[in-house]
Amino acid sequence: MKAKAAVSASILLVTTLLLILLSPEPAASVRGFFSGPFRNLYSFGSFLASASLLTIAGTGAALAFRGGAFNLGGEGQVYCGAVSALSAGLLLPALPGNLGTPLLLLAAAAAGFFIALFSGWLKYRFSIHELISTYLISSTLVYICDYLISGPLRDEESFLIATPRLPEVYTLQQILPPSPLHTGVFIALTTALAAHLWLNRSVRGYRLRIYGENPACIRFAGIREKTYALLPIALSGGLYGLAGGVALLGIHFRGIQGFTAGLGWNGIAVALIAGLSPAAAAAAAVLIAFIEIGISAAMAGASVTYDLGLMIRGIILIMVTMKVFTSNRKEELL
Amino acid sequence: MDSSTPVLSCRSIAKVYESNHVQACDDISLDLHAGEIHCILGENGAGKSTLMRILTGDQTPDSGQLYMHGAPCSFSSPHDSLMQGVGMIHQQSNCIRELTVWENIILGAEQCGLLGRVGRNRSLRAAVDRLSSRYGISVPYHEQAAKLDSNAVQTTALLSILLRNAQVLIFDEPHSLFSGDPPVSFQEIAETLAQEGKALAVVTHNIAAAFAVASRITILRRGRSMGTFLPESIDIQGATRLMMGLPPEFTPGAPKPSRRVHGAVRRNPVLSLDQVSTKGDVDNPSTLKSVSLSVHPGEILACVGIKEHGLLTLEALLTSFVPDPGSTPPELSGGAITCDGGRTYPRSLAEIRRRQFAYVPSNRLLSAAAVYSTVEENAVLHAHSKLTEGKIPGLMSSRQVRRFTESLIHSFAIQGNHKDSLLSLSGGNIQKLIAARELADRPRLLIACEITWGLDVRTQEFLFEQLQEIKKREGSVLLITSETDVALEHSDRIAMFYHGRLVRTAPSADVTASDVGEVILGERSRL
Amino acid sequence: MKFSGTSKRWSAAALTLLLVLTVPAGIAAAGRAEAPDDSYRIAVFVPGVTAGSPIYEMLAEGARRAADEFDHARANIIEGGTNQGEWPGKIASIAAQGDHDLIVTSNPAMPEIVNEVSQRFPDQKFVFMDGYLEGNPSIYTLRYDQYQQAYLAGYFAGLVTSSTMEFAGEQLKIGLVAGQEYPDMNQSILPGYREGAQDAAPGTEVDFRVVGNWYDASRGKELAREIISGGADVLLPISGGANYGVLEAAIEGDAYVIWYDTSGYHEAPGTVIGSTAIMQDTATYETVKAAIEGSLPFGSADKAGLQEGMVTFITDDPLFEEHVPEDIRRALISRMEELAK
Repeated sequence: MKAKAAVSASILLVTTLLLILLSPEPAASVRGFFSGPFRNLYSFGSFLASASLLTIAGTGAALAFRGGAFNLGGEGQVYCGAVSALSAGLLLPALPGNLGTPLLLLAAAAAGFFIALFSGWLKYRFSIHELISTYLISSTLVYICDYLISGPLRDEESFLIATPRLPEVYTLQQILPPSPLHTGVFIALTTALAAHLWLNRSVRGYRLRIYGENPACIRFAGIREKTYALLPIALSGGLYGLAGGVALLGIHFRGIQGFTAGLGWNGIAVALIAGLSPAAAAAAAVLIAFIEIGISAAMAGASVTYDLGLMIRGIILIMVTMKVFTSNRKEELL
Repeated sequence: MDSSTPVLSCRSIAKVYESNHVQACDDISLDLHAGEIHCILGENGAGKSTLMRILTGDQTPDSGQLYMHGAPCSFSSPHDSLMQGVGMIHQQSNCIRELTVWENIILGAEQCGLLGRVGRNRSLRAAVDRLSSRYGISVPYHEQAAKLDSNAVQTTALLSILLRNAQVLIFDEPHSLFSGDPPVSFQEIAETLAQEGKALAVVTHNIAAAFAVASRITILRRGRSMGTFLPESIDIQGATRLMMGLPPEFTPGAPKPSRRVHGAVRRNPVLSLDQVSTKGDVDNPSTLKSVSLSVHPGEILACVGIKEHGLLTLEALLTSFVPDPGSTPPELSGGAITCDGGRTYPRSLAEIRRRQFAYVPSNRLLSAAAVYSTVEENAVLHAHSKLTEGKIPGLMSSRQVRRFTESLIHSFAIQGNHKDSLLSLSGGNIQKLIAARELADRPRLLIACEITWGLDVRTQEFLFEQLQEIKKREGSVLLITSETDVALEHSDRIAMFYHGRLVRTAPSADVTASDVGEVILGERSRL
Repeated sequence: MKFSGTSKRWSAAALTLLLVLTVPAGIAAAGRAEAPDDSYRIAVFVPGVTAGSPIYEMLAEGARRAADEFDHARANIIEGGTNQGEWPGKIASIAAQGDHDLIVTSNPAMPEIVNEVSQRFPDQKFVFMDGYLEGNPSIYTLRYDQYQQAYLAGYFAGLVTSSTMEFAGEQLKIGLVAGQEYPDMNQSILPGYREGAQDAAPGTEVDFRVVGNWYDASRGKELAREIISGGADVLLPISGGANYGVLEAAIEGDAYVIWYDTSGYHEAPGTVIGSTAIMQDTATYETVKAAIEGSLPFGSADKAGLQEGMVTFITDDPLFEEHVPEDIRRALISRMEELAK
């Protein structure tokens, strides 16, 4: 705890120093960064909305790690999740909202689930390491999704590379207008808690944890190994897909090229900071969201360039993923 | 060299582990002189391993000082200590499994100061060959380290350390044999090394083995030194008493249970092998050749021999289990395995367990433990699906899990808390937990492999008492072990393996250790 | 060692507590910061990155110059990055902040994004350069006459392809490489280019290709090669970063290139022989200045072309004079003078 407090303090200190050194208007930038999410209702809502997406993605990343799998395909799985929900919403005949919304989210989760499952199967069947297969498949899928948004699904009338909007019945309820906060925040909390309960209390969750640490142990216990070779990575893909679906139905309402970019990698950061615990993922997501919003507030307040903002964000992320914040279990994995 | 100055010594070493506040070492002082074989005895958890880690720079003491040749020194890492002449041969392999044996031997040897890649390899090879022939040991250089047996792993580690010209060699629970053609006993190697002027520290809890080689003996108990003795000045009983902190009149080991008299009427065997052979090269000693044996209810049958002469194959064959996901269990090429009087023997661990057969694997730390998980998580490996809550299907009840774990902890006197990480337990306690888990379901047959490995006398005795319990309720035990004396003492019948053949089966009471030794070492034995 | 669950729970609880305590304080503090003063703050939202993009550099420059003329005005440049998906959120967050009197931005796609943001924050005033939206009382747009600009490029291309210049081929054929298809491209630029070429050299054909994005230089090069091998000798790339692929293909394939929006003569002297330009800096300067003075008619949409001096063909560059024969130069300039009347 002491070490954590010390590192937290030094992160704040370093951030302040970076902003003072690099920003043309240090005072405004520092104020912007720290007041980031609290400047007004809008920024607070968008802070929570962003934390919700990160919570879902982070929970997904954590499940894979706990099961001993590396899912580096988050980017593609999120994007595909969003695009399959989008395609379903645009192409299928209209459904009533109370049925349509869950169905679209299910489509999103299923897309991520099966994409990741495929990588798990490649590992199980052909010993192709999922570290490489998830990443390569995801990179390919990003291009395919880009194509779908800029090609068949594109809104020809738009100046953006974007699709038409989804019918309003499908979108998640906004709860703090004018901010983009939406009911996805409850989906996120439920997901993290359910994953936590499942992982720590259920029979299958127990087996997944043991498999993640020592697959031989699962075989020794006479339990079917294949299930646990595939389940962690597939579940993780499913949650990534769900995160994409929630981003679509809660925030963007339409596909814009690259609109979920970054969620996959940030999900991994969230999982690592959370010590691979789904329940802690919500807290870690809040931290990452704070940094995101803080940096853009610092940029908005004081002409900090975009690249500089990215750089500062990168430095902070490296610091928060430092050892004291994460469990040794992660070290064991990496 | 001034023979009165120890090569390596330590004074007043103390160490407390922060994680569990265990005082692992408390004011320990030790001298290692050139030419001596210094045995360090102690039960599991006595502080032996911690002391050795400190002596090799793997841990730093909270207080106390190390000296090399009388001058204060400190080691920042095992590599550092090796560079200063202190090397350790570990109990569990620290070979890199992915590399070849040769690569493992020379790993880091560029420090030897030899130039050029080809030249270096060639001269290194010559140096290793010289060492190899000097001590009569050999290892297959081009084999992958993962495929080595434990004797060869230990030999590889020894060669690697000798190559660096270490003056102090620390052996942690050495196996009795080093690989070579023929294999060389530990005693022989240790004596040669000592004669050459090396200082040897041997950490063990095998008292008899220690007395056979030691020039001095230091006994540790609960992190404290109980004194250093010449082997002449203390006997095995005295040493045992000190190790265990027992009153003087106590003799270790329960009185030998009366052997079961084998009557004429016998029930169907629980397990029966009829002319069993496995696929593989006939010249390979590990291929089983026409083995027939049966285990009856209420009997402990011990299969003894050199591990690679069929014992490992037998273990994998009977359990269909190999810890390495890449390899497959051996296949039958002839004969039949049956259980419960004629039924086909199951070919998967799940089914084996369903028949209430239990299994303690020989490589249990690798395959039967999740060391970063808690004691509780490990304890319920077999029972977890039954420890569920009534209301929600598939949800485990933490109260039941805890109760189950505590019952194991209690009945096997395991020192540790149910929420501790398994890693924080001592090796002996981990092993007890693994055994306790297997016995919890009252198995009808226990396949127990190398069950005494790495255990102190008291724990061994405890486990054998448990085996007697199985026997009492008409269960059966198949012991598969390379420790002959243990097998002789605790089994009803003994099956002796050599080169993949079951050479002789006899009631344990009718044979002596040297009878068994002759059989299992074959004609080429030098014993 | 396993991570301690207890300390995890504590840190989560502490973080939550911190949030609960700081939210009201933060909002209150932010509220105080919004105390009215008479300064005029301008946010320039760059949908991308300023460095390396002349159009956005001009935008920032024009806004700054206008602000510098007034003591109480100041301009703040905010970069939105290249991910289109992030722009709506970012611009909404600036509007939500409420401490900028005016948000200036430039890009045909922005009105579509902001119209929606504007409904959530009706008090926020916006100015769009190079965009079109009419009827929102908070928004003023000024677009450049794309038809005219493309017409000039087309007219010049027609002159070149029908000339005896070194690389001018037999066929009357010119090329246009677009980043993507969008309304302005289909309704103004392509027709303008085509009609300009027809007016200069009747019968000239336009080979029109689309990259599909604004960055893929190798795809741009591939398309340009196909166009050149099809017989076209003058290319007009309007495809962002892919322009450089087109340029490379033109250098290798002995064709001419016309640059769009900014001066491109120095990109490849002898290959880039013509350049249309929009006066984004002047236009931004004048628009922002009017906004500060309070004379900008919000709610309306204006269009500026050759007549207003906001669209031009750069004819005073020495490289233009060096590489283009005098008769062509004279023909182009006299056509421009006609149109400006």
